[in-house]
Amino acid sequence: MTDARNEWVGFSPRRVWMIAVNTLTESVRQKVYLIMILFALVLISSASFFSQFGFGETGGQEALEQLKFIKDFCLGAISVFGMLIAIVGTAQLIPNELENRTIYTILSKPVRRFEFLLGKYAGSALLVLVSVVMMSVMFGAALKFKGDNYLKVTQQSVGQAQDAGTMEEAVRQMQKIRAAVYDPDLVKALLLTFVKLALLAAITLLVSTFSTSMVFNVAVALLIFFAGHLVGPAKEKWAESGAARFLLTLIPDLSVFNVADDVILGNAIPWLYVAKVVVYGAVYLVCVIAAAHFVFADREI
Amino acid sequence: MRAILMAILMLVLPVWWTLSLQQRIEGERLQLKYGGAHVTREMRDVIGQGMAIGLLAGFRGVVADFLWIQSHSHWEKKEWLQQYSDMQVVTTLQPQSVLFWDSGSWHMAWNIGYAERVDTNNYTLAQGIKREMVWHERARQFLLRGIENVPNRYELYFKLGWLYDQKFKDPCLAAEQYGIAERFPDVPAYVVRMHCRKLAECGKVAESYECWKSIWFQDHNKVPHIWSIVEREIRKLENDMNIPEPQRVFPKQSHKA
Repeated sequence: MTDARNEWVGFSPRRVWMIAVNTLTESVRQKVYLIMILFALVLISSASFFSQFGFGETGGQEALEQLKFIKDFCLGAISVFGMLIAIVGTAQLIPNELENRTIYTILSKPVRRFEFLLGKYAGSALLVLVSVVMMSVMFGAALKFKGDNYLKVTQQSVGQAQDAGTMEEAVRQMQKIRAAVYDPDLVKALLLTFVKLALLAAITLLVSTFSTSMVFNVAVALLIFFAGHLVGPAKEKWAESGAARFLLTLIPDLSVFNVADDVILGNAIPWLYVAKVVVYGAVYLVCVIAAAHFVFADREI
Repeated sequence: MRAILMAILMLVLPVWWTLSLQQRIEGERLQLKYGGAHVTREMRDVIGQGMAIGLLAGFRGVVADFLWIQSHSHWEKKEWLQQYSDMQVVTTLQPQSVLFWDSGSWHMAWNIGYAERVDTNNYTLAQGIKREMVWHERARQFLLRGIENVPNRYELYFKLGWLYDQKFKDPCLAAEQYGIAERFPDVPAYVVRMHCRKLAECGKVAESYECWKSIWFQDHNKVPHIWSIVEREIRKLENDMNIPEPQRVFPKQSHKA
């Protein structure tokens, strides 16, 4: 047991960084992670080949429907696999260190428990970031591939247009396809997905500071993930009860991070909204890490 | 023990720090109409357990897409009422999707309507036509609900106008909807022309003439109209209305303005 207040004395960001990089390296080498990221990348890249999953319309409408499907599917996959990577990647960090007894070697050196905890979290957040970036690049490629195909087909129909009206419609269709493929708002959806996953990783770390079982950590984090998406409807249901609203505020409302649907539907997402949600996530994240610090500082190792 | 209390305090702190921020975010989400209807027991019965879990995990778009595909498979099996039910759920899940309102109403008015009319189980042609008209009305109601949810885009007004024009054969109602659609800045040029044409069909010839003239006097290099059509329509209306020679955009003697 250590005094949590003394943890700040001699705090070294360099040591935190070293632990973070080491954690990232260890995580990336794990088979569980490699299988998950590989599966995610294959799934996302294959989204562009789901031509049979169209909604059955013909003409220009088909292209927009296909692109909507690809975006929904890929952003959904990024969210699911990101969630799995964040939870599984973080849940095992402290239990593994304890099981392998490597934590004694680290903490016997001049490394504060807070530095260790923060380093572990930073490593996990980096892992999530790397994964989200890789999946996003693959998503972008899949979208561009499909979009370019549709653009080529529409371009041909412009060339073959018999009358000016058909040509006008085809040109307009091309503009819509371009807007759907090169949508800058997708970055906002990906950014908020990352913040949500980083918060989820922090919550998992908090759970793992007082639990010794990885399965327990994963299960609790998953439950919080689902509960976080139900906070909004629950608040509406129990809007009159102040106590219920207070208790519900303890769980971060994860649905506020979900703007992917609205981006895909073409709704404007103001940067101010994104900034507010990022601040909201950051406040929770800092508090959860601080709580994890107090629990971990008090823990018998 | 003190550390545990501190940890609990840390978890309670965001409640105060973020309460006003959270309320502002919630308010903004409502204002911007983000998300869609929440999962209810009735909805869960329609979409099934797997999709309900997907919804609870925040995968609204994916669930809506799969339901849409499922609705299409109902179409292939001629299960039109199930298809209609799926379309209702999909649009409840993503009420902001123009695509779903647009394609859904098209399915109802054109595909299902026609299939009902030519259904071999009909005793008479009149019965088929009556069944078809039921689907036209459903499509109309569907589009009206779509417009309630997406009032800030031209597409659904245009589609409603198109429905009035093609299926209800009512050029006046069609002109009214095209008129609303043409007020949007991103509206395609053909919608404006269709508005002018339907005004004439509705009997509002003078309004139609003014409408065509307003198109003609725009900058021909900037506005992407098919100018030959505009000229043709103006000439026709000027002849029909017997516009005095000096007031004509295209005097009888000239071929070009």
